[in-house]
Amino acid sequence: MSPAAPILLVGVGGAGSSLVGRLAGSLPGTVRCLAVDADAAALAASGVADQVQLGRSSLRGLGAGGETRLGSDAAEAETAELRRRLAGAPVVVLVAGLGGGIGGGATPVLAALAAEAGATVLALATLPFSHEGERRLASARDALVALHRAAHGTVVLRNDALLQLAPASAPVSELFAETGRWISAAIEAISGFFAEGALLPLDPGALRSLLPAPGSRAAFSTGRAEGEGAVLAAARAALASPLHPHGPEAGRHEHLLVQVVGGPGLTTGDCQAAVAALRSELGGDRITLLGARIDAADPASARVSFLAASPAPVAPAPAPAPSPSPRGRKGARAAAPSPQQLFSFAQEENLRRGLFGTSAPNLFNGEDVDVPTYLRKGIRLPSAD
Amino acid sequence: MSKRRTVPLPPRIAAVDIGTAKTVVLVGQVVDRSVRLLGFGERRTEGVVKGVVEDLERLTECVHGAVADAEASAGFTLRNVYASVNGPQVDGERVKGILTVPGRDRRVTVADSLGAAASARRIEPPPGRMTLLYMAQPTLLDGRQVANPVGMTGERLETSFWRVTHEEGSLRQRIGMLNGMSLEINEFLLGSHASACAVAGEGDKRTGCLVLDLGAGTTSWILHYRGHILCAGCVPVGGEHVTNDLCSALRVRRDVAEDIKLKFASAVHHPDDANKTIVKEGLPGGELQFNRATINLVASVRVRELLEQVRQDVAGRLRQIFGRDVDLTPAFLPSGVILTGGASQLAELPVAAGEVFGLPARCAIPATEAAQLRRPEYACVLGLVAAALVNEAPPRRRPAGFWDILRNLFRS
Repeated sequence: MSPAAPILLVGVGGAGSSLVGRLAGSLPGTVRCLAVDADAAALAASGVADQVQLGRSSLRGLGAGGETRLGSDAAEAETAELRRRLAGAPVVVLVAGLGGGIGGGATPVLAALAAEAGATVLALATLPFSHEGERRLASARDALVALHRAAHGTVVLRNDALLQLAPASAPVSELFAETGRWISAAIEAISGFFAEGALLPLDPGALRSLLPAPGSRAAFSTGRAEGEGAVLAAARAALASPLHPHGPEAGRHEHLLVQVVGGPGLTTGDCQAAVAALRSELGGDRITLLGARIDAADPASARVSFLAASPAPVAPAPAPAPSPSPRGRKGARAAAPSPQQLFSFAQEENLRRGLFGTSAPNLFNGEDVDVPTYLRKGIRLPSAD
Repeated sequence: MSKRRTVPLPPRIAAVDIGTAKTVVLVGQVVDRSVRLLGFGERRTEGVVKGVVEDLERLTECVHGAVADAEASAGFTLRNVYASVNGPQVDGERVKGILTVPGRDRRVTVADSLGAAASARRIEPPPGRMTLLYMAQPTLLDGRQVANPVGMTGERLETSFWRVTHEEGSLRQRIGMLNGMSLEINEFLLGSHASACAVAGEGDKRTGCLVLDLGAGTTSWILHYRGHILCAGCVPVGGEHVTNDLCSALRVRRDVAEDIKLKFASAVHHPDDANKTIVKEGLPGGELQFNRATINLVASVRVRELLEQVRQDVAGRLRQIFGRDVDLTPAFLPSGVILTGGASQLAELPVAAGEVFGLPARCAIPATEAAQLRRPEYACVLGLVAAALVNEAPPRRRPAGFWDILRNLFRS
């Protein structure tokens, strides 16, 4: 276990590895990078030094073409190699776009392998835009269910939520770039959790106590602000970011980790105010951890990140009667979804439905009308200020 | 008859309305052509989501509390109640009984008239559903609408009803719950029918109107056409959905969103509100600022969608009944749309409804002597009392102008 690099950042699939490649240069020394993909050309272009090419024989250097099955098969064929690469890191952060074949198929396999090796696994996953097609969205949802089960904590960035941020006239490429920016911010924040020279240091073991077992319900977000009251403003920005698209009604968490990064003028009062604001929205009644760090390079601004988690119930809660899901789950790897799978799938979808989280979906003309109208219709709201 | 005249006891009517947001129990008595409020109990409904019971134990507790409050304020124990039914478990359809008038002279007898009605009632409800009510629709004799066909001549006698059915399991659950409190259910009444009784005048019903009861979890509607109930329905969306959308868009807690909805939200989006901000104080993280345009946009797209869903639901029912598309025009429904229920208090709702339906639209508040009940959310429970009066057996000496009393009671 090398204390120099407690975090292993793994980019999975085309989207994940190119993102990690772009960030590799700017990350602190506490982070080691790894790219995993089937597409040889994309791997080479990613620029990540440490790489694993999946499906050398089955896919012959090409991608999985959106087939999650091919992705998971390719990863399972390379189990030995992946185990070797994942060994030794106490924290593994997986980055993937779940709409892709490798991203959706291989990421859950990697998460399971890393968890088996004793690492705390945090997954940062993006869900495709609704306009990318129902099939892609459905396979990404299935992948999310599998990932949720295997990783200790899963943070989901719904591309749909970004529509609210980008100008109405923004081209699609701009929206994808926006996804990249948010995931980068998340990676930077997570890698900053354990950076050296912290006033209030956090150790990787803290993450273990926050996320004790795979399958936890987790929320992560980060925000940045400048000027007077920057710390509190950054905490609010974190609550309002698309990484955390759920209102406070989405449910409270038992565990909360808050990291405040500020200029030399950072006060305890600032930190406490930020923690209080986050606690009132997110919970953290059982464990609340605070980390603080001074960033002399950026004295005017403050950054606040949080990771909130509720451990998975020890005894899996009795799944709701497996009524035929109106969406029709297709392409699941297991023939019959286990209760746990349904359970976590339901949880993910429920967050979007806010107050009506746990009630049966309300279908009218095939649409779940409990999901806010403006989200379903892709109506852009005026900016908050 | 004895010399000492017995003073007729006006019926004491108890009504129970279990809504998604609150449960109301009202005890009323008709005295001097007006309802005297005898007892009242109100509790926040627990264990009901979007009109569907999710936690019977909690619901039972809150209904019991409301009944107990009503009994305490009335000073006597309730025995019989009228209860409303609402929500997605309630459905309805038109049932028709057709009879070829027998006999050489083709004169309709009382037996023929009853026979046509009986054949309509013989139509089985769909499996798993129970029939609750039949609401009479006009009788047609050879296609002509007649008030009473007996004695008239014709060949084809056609009687139809709007039949209200309820999902069997949840109805039994509801009956069991009320019976468990030693309450006998005189009758279940359709919630939207009760609301219409409270807010729509006889004139509105005669000419034709669409009454929308916008509740917290569901919106139910009933269409009165030429003096009878043509059809009714329900859309599983209500005021709580507006609150939820605001929670999601503004990232605030439910109570804050509810407060913002009541104070600032509107059913009509005004883009020029973009620069107006609303400052909300007293929140845990300090004060927060919201853009008024955001609030209105979120609320207006939801409400517009809700009204559009109702319009589609109405259009679908009308298509079933008439066998063709029927336009909702002022000629078809001269009295337009009447909006009531707790969620109808959203600002500028009639404007939005007018635009969606293409009909004149207005909000209505139930007329009653009790000032604290003159609020749209009490339309259903007040209407229950009004509608139930019709069912009550007339007192031993029927007072003159019984119908006048009714009319005066709930004239809006």
